[in-house]
Amino acid sequence: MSYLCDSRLSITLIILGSLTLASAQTSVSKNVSTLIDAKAKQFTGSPCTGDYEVKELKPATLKMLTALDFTYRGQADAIKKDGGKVIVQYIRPQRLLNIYTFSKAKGAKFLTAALVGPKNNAVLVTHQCTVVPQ
Amino acid sequence: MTIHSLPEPLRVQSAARKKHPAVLRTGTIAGALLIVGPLSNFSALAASSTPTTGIKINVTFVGMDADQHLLLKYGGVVLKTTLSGLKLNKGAGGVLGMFLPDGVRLQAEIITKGNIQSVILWKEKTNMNQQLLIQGVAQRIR
Repeated sequence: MSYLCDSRLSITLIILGSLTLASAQTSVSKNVSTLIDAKAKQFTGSPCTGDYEVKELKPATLKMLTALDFTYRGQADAIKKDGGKVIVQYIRPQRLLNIYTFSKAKGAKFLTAALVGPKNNAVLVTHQCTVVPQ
Repeated sequence: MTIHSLPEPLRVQSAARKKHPAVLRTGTIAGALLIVGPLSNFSALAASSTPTTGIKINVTFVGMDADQHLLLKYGGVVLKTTLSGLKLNKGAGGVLGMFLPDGVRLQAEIITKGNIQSVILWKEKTNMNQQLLIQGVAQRIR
């Protein structure tokens, strides 16, 4: 089961890494960080403490968002057994996924992924940051 | 044949249909369910609880853990799942290997979410949940 734990919390990179048009920003504008802060506070109860990261994937589909949800939920049990925590909220009508993860190795992270734009030309936008552990 | 020549219960039903065509449809559907119900045990496996997303994800079968959970690999990550509406029998690991050899490529249709998600496994167009139930590798849970 150890390989379950090795790859945890890097799920996003695994999925997103296979896409050619992915782009990541490690330094984000004030507007973007404020936006992520607000989302993090709403979902985890505390704003971000740093390590902001934004990714955009195009072309994106609802299947990709569902797959992201599937991977986090599928590992939740193993992470929990290792003293970690995973909270996943998938709001399908809004095409929005909110995830809180905590592990001893990587700390607490908040990730929000949203599918925006028309069905045939959608973009998957992910925002990630570190948060205060719950 | 007029309404008045029908026996009383049918006459009432026929009159109701004329007034409310939905009665006819409802009655037909109810009748069809009564007939089809016992025959559709297997399809009920998927349809009994939460509506399906209809989204299938390509996965690789890894194996079964000690708690009879199914391990599926997706994008380099091993995920713990269960078969929707089914429980794998104890000691089914060996038999399971006949139907799902290690590394076989499948599609997982997510049915319910939670800590451990339940899925329907598809091997091309074959519903593997049904196959495992028919072959006695898994049993139905309520």
